[in-house]
Amino acid sequence: MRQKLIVALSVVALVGAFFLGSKAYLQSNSAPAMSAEEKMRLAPSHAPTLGPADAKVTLVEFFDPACGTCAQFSPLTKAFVKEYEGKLRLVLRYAPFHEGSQTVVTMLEAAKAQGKYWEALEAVLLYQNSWVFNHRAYPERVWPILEHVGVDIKALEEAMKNPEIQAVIAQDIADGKALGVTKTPSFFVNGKPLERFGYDPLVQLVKSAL
Amino acid sequence: MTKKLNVLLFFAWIVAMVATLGSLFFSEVMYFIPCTMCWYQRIAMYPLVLLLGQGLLTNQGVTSARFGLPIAFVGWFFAAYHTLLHAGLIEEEAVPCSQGVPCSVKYIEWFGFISIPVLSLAAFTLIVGALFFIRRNARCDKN
Repeated sequence: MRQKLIVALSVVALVGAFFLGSKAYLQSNSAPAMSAEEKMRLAPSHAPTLGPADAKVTLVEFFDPACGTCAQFSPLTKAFVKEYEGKLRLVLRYAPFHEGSQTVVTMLEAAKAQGKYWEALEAVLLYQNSWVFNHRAYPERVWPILEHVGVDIKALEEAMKNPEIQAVIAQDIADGKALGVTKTPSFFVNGKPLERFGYDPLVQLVKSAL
Repeated sequence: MTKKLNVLLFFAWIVAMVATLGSLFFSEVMYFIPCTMCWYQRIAMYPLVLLLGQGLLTNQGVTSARFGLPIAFVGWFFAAYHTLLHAGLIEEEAVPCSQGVPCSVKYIEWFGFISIPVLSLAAFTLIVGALFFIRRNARCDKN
């Protein structure tokens, strides 16, 4: 009997220590403030942006068009832009971690010249499961999707050769590295990283900044 | 089972419990992503909490030590391999999943040598040692 009591008390003590420790850790470990230089890195002028430049809230998202979770979050970030119109600015940065997705990013960037960037992005994310298999992107399967939203493929292929696009991607990858982006999507709200990943935490973080 | 052996079993159980909660703390609170090797060690460590705990609660300590020993040994083997991998004494083969975390990634390094695999190896060594001692000294026990 006494032994059972000791075992039970040990369980309570250890599990209790676990939860107290978690609480203490989370409290002591809120992210350090970003330096001015790091903030500058977040939203450069080349990045695709929705919303006014002087918006109160800047939501920066590092994403990969081939990332499933990014596609899932895309309606939410769009809804933010709509719901907090004039108060929120969405800035997209690339973090093409998947094999083959750099080419898809190049296609998206090239679609900018035709003024079809956002349409192209939306369609590419919406039909992601027709061109991403087993965490690998198949860019050749993206062409029909772009064609469907009215992108002139011939002109796009020409625009993709622009070396500036590769420079933009390289800059985004370098900035992502400097900012500690290892997973996609990674969100920053007014320079503050989303600490606990998830739908609700992101909504909370955006609301707290408004 | 003698009182001494019982205390030893309790000690092994506490070690398993601390290792289990500790690994959950790393993954669930600190958000370290466990690599494949870490999962193999977890597979061995987690059931030991229940198995040894059951032995303590039902007074079948020797039996639980007997059943726990091979599990603990498997965990010890993976922890040893992982420790050597971290120390750079074994080369890591290509990792099949590019999304995962390579097992050579070091999340913590306390005092310059205590990494997660070292903690794991220490825990498994203590458990294997305790369980082995219990089994050997309880040969004549009917339990």
